[in-house]
Amino acid sequence: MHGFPLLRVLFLAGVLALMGLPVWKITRPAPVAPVGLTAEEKKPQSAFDITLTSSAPAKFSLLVGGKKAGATESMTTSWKISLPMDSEKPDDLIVHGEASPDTKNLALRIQVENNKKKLTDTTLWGTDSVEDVVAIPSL
Amino acid sequence: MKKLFLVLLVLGVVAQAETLTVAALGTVLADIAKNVGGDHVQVVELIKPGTDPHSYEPTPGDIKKISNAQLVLVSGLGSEPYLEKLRSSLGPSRFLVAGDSVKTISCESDEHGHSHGEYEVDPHWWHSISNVELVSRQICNAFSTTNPGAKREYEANTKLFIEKLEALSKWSRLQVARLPKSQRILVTSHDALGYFAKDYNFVILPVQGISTIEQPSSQKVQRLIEQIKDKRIKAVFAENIENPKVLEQITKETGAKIGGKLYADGLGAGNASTYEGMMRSNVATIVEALQ
Repeated sequence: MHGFPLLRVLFLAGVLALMGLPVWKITRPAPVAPVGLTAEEKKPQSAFDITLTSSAPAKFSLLVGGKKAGATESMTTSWKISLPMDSEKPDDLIVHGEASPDTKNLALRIQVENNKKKLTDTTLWGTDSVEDVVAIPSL
Repeated sequence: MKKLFLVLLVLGVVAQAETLTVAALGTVLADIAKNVGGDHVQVVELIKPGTDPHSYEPTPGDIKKISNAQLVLVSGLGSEPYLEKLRSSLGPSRFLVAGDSVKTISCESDEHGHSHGEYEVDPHWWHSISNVELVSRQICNAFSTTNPGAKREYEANTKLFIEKLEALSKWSRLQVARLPKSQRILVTSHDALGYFAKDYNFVILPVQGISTIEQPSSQKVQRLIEQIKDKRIKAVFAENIENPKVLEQITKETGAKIGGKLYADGLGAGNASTYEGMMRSNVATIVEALQ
């Protein structure tokens, strides 16, 4: 051994590696678990068909969970939109209808269906504009 | 004949001008009474805004004030543990119990910091605006019977107040609808917002039970921490009359923020010193924090 410095270096490196192995095992970063979906993200979605019909031409807009879900660009008396929502707990709709300022009475009917099954059928009343919350029952 | 007519006319004017003296054992009741009574009522407020009604006991001075009142307004549903004593000493006829006219809900009894699975009536009826409408009508009837000379004014005032309440209800509905249903979870210091939760589809996770006197066990706090983490709840709420120490511990462990102060047991100061102001403050605080 005394005559082979290369062997001595290799032997020393081996000893150091053996000593370092348990330290590495303890200090190595833990494998990252794949991020699972939360209960909220796993919830089943379903298409809700919403039909708005008004007594006078109006611009319509819909908000779901505080976010704009759709709006008409021009005045109309009928508008349909289909929105995917949590079928167990569908969010409330904020419905807004704006007719021309000279309109004296505005009635706005809101119908919500899922697979042709009627869930909500309600009418909002106002003068030239209407705004209210429409709740949708769970499927 | 003319003299008799004059006497009747004077009597009529006197009756119309009469002012009722009413004692209110609750800040919300005092505000309703002022709205219904207008100029024809003097409201003696025995519980001041910001006082914890759960720990209130009438002082001898309060008893004197109550005995001078023509009507005593109480919340009922167990809110006033001293009520029976008061009734027996002053006579039951002068008491109006708001809890008799409201639509009640039950909540789980949690007197010792752990659940027994027992249920009792939630006494915080005013967190449902429709209950406040019912109590306004009840108070209007009682005022009109006690002071018939001002019946018309009481009815007109009640109509105006109910219109305000309906506008408040619509505003609250529109505000809450901005929150997805999955985010409608209220972690509050005590279980006082059950009526609000029922009206607006919230789930409540209270730290304490119905009364502020109850203290939560460490297991209950730990359970709550796990639920907050699991449901990724963004904010927890303190109350205007409490030490939010436990809530602060919860926020440290969960990363949820303190969403702001809610007025759970009655009115507060400033903008929250009226029923409408209190409700607007609570709704705005909740929606802003959970969005």
